[in-house]
Parts: sequence; C-alpha cells; structure tokens
Amino acid sequence: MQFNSFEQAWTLVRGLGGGTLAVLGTSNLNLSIVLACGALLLGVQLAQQYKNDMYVLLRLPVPIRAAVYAAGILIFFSFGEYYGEQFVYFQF
Amino acid sequence: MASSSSTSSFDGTKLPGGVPWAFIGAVAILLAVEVAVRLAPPARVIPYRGGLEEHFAIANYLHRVGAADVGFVGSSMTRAGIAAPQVREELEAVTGQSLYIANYGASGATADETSAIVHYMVRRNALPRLLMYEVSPPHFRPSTSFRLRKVAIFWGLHDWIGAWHLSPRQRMRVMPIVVRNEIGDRYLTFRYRDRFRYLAQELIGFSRALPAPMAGRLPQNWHQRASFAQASEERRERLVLRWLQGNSIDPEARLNEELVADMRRTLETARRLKIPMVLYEMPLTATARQTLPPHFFDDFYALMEDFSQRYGVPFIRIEDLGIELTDEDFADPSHLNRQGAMRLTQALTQRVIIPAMAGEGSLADGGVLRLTGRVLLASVDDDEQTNIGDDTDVQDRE
Repeated sequence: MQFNSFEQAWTLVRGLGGGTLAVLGTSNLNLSIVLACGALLLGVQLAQQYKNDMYVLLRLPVPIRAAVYAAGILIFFSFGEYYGEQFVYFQF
Repeated sequence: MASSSSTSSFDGTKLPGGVPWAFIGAVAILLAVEVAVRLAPPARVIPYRGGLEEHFAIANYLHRVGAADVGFVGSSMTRAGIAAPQVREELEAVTGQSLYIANYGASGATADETSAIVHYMVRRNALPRLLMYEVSPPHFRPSTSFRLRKVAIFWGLHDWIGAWHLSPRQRMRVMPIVVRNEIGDRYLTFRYRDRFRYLAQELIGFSRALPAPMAGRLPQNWHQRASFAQASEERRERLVLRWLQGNSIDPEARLNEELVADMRRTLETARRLKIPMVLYEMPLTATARQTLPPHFFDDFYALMEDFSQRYGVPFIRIEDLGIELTDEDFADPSHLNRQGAMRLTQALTQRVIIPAMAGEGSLADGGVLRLTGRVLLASVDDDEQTNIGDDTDVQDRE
C-alpha cells in the first residue's frame, strides 16, 4: 500500500485505532482471544523454524496430535460465528 | 505412534502416512466428551447467558430436562419478576413432593416467540403440568415485527419445511439455524458448544457462571439491581428513556394484530390439547403505564377477557392478587427487583398456583382450571371446561 501524503497515512492509522482495534480493545476478552491465537500461531512458527520442518505438528506423538485435533474441533464449534449477518453477497 | 509408511508433501518432504491414528484418536476423544456431556447434570453443561442465547437455553432445558411441574413463559419481565425457588418451596410444603419449577422468561419475548416455545414444548413432550403465560399491554405494541431468527431457534426441519408463509429469502435466512438445531438434537457437544467458551472465560476470570431461571434458580444478576424508587434522578431518566425507546406507542395505535393472532394460535393449541394454562398479568410502574395510551390498556384487558372466556383460560390481573406494587418493588419501569419478585410470586403461588396444583379439586385431584370468585381456581367436570371465566367473574372485576 502506498500513501500519497502523510494525511492519508494518518487517516488509515486513525481508522485502525478508532475502528478495528477499538472494537477489539473494548472487550478484554476479545483482545485476550486474539492474543492467545496469535501466541499459538507464533509458537507453531517458532517450532517450525527451530526444527527446520514445516510439518513439525504432524510429527508429534499420536496422542498429542489427537488431542490437538479434538481441541481444534471443539474450539471451532465454540468460537464460531453462528448468528452474524449474512455474507455480504447474499444480503442483496 | 510411528506409522509404517509415509507419503510425500507438495514440497517433496516425507510425511507420516498409513492408518490415521491421530484422527481416530480425535474422534474417540470427541465421543468421550459427548458421553461426559450426556452424563453431566444439565445445569453444568447447558450454556446460559442473556440476550439471544437465553432463547437457546430455554430450548436446551426443554430438550434435555423435559417437562416442569410449573412452567412460566414470557418476557424478561417474567424472568426478573418470578422467583421459581419460592414457588417450589411453597408448593413442596403443601404437596410434600419434589417439584421442578421453571422460569422460561426470555428477553423481549412476546406472543410470537412464546407461541414458538409452547409449540416446541408440545413437540418435545415437555409441557409443564401447569403453564403460566405472561401477558402485558406492551407485548402487543404495533412496532413489534415478527422475530424470525428468535422463533427459528425452536424450529426443526419439519417446521421449516412447513413454513410456507415465509418468503424464500426468509427461509434461506433461518435455514442454517434449523440445520444446526437438527445437528444439535443428535449431538449434544455441538448443541452446548457455547458452554466450552464460557468455561474458558470462567477459568481465566473473565466471567462467572450465571444461575439459569429455566433450571429453577433466581436471576441473581437481575435481582442485584437497586430499586427504581431509590434511583438517582439521572439514572431514573436514563431508565425511562430506555423504556420509551422500546415502548413508544402512537396515541392512535391499536394492538398488534399479528401478535394477537400468534397468541390466539397458542390458546387454540392449549384448548385442543387441554393444556392447563393461566394467563397472568405482569405489573408495570405508574411511570411506564403513563407512557402508554389509555385505550391501549382498555383494548388489552378486553382482549384478555375475551380470550379467557373463548378459550377457557383463567386471566389473573394484578389487582386480583391483593398486592400493590410500588416503585420500591421495581428495578426499572417494567422489571421487578428481588423484593417485588418475591411479593408477586408469593401472591401468585398462594392465590393461583397452589389451588391449581394441590388439594381438593386441583389438577392433581383430576380437576381442571376454573375461575371462581376473583382468582380462586377449582375443579369442574371436563364437560364444563369451556365455561371457565364465567360472567360472574367478569362482573366482579368490573
């Protein structure tokens, strides 16, 4: 993304601060979820880097992988957005 | 567990292959979770929060726990204003039985949602022995439109297929809810999926478990609110403004015909299935009453009296209960606080529920509900059932 002026860049930063980030920041819970997910992703990436193996998760012992898969499915169930607005293309 | 074979990824790296033991293990874990969910006490696994999720909690309790001995249906006015533990205590003292009293009051529920709840009870064979149905003039405000997404929470595929009165767009809008309901009927882990999130929140201290009124508990979070009478001028204005935002009614407006039709449908079902039902009026503060057009009350009471006689369902007005509720008994213009809830519940239990549920001529004695005098319920023969709410009662009230 390229900005033609400092004003344009500032508008974007303000938009993030007053919009997306503000929405997350108004709820400590939402912010915590985002941070936890970020930490999880970072952990996997660090493990991949450390082991020099993109498939490091797939080489974990079976019981751990099974637990990770099951937890993933439960998290998907529980944190899914079920009652939001329709996908924008279906709203018109 | 090491696998005996391997497969190649897109970049040529050798990956574990063979029997997908981890996948099988994950399925086994999910099955174990499902068994645990089914064996756990309902109150531990059924998620309960306010707002839309309150409706899911009602469906979940009806689905899992089944019929209550006395069930209250209505809006948040009932949720805050009916103390189920008090009904249970007083009724158990009279009957000597262990009873389940459920408060199915849900945020903003009017006749359309209540109709969906009652019909869900019928389908699930979860009708209470005595159904207490909340009525109040604001529930028939003209501005209320059909809340399809809330109603669909109580639908199965059969209801969705049969809802020909909906537009294709409306049908598509609620189809995901109905599909999820069908999956949830069979897979409780999915049905109670929000509970996992709440549990995580509770474990890290972001929230605490709320007692569910549909499980027969007190709505403590509501009852912690200060009385309307003691509210500061600023808070009072804010509460009245909020009330007006939701309940502002045009001076010329009449009762909402669609909601009247929804209530009529429920009453027709009740008559057809001989469901013992009582209509009870939930109180409003004088402040709230003053904001509604006077003719709106006249229309409302005339309609309730008409329903009472036409469908053989007793209609209990606040004045029938012998109590006078003031601002001290309210938390805001329309919701009772703990003190008000206790007073209303006690009067309703002593004057209506106990006579209906216990003793000579009660439902337990093979009787049917009938108004005699002002509020006393007693038995009549089955063939007299349609005479409930006779002319004498109406004249007494007038």
